[in-house]
Amino acid sequence: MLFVLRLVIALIFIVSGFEKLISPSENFLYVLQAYAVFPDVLAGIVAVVFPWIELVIGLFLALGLWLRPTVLILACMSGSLIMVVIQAIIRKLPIDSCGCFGNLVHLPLHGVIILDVTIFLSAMLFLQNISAVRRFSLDQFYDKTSV
Amino acid sequence: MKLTKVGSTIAIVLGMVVMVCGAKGVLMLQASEAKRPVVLGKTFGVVNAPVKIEEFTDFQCPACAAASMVLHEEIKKESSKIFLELKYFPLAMHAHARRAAVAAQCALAQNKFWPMQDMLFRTQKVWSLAKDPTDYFLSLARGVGLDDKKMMRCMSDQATELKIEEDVKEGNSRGVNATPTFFVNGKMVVGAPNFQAALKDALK
Repeated sequence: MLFVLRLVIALIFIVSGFEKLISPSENFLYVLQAYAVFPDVLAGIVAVVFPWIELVIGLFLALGLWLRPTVLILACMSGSLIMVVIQAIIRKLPIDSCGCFGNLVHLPLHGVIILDVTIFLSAMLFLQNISAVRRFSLDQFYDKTSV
Repeated sequence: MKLTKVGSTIAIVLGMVVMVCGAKGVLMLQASEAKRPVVLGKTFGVVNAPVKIEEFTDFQCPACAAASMVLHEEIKKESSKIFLELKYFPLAMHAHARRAAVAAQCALAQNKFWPMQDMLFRTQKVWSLAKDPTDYFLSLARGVGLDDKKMMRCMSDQATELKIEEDVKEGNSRGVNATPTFFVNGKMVVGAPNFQAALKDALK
């Protein structure tokens, strides 16, 4: 069960990161600006770096590589995203679609909160059951070979 | 040769970078081939102006309406330096955007594109809420002096839809996924505030 959940979250991050990376970064910059949390210069940097982090997290989760730090980053990331979306809802920012998956899927902000909370809770579950999460992982493979 | 954990990590990250760069390269190549010749009528200014702008717009997008009011006025002030070309990019999430683009395209056929696009943006809040905005578009067309029968014929013609689709295909190939998206001398800029800054730089 945890293995399947790990793969599903990995897939979400891989698709989301890859879609942003292959499309011009100006699109994601526009999405970030709509949330009005970063100054322009920082938003420009985040627009370039964030999709790479998403893709790395997705790949590492899928392969089960460096699982503990990856899950910790996943928890921090989803926690931060929840905050960003909540502030956008409170400030009634005119955002039709979250922009999290580029042009692939259009999720309203309330839908994103549900998704991010699910990911955050899953990350917490992973941290509590890290040995179970490490089934079928490269971490497990390397632990075995190093013994 | 046995790969260590760190070695595997480096190999995976490198593989990922190569894959992304490869995919991006292919898409950039497609984008450079996607640009089509200028369609006069949906343009403003002189063709050989130093600042060339392409705008991908959606008539049902509130940000496009706001941008249109302000930016097109600004562009008119600098009309000798700017050449603007408008392209349709109706987003799937806007139910009537494609129909509005069809109406604008039909106005273009009668050389009244700009007055029609102006009316479409000004009345956006009204027709966005309509179940079927066709009658409303026809009344707008009458208001800007378009021939009713020609307009109706054109709006039900499949060829008009194809013209919209050509713009959408071009936009997709060039990485457009939000509106308004501009290309200022070929450089992509998304959103009106970013465009204003880019335009200011280009006009320096």
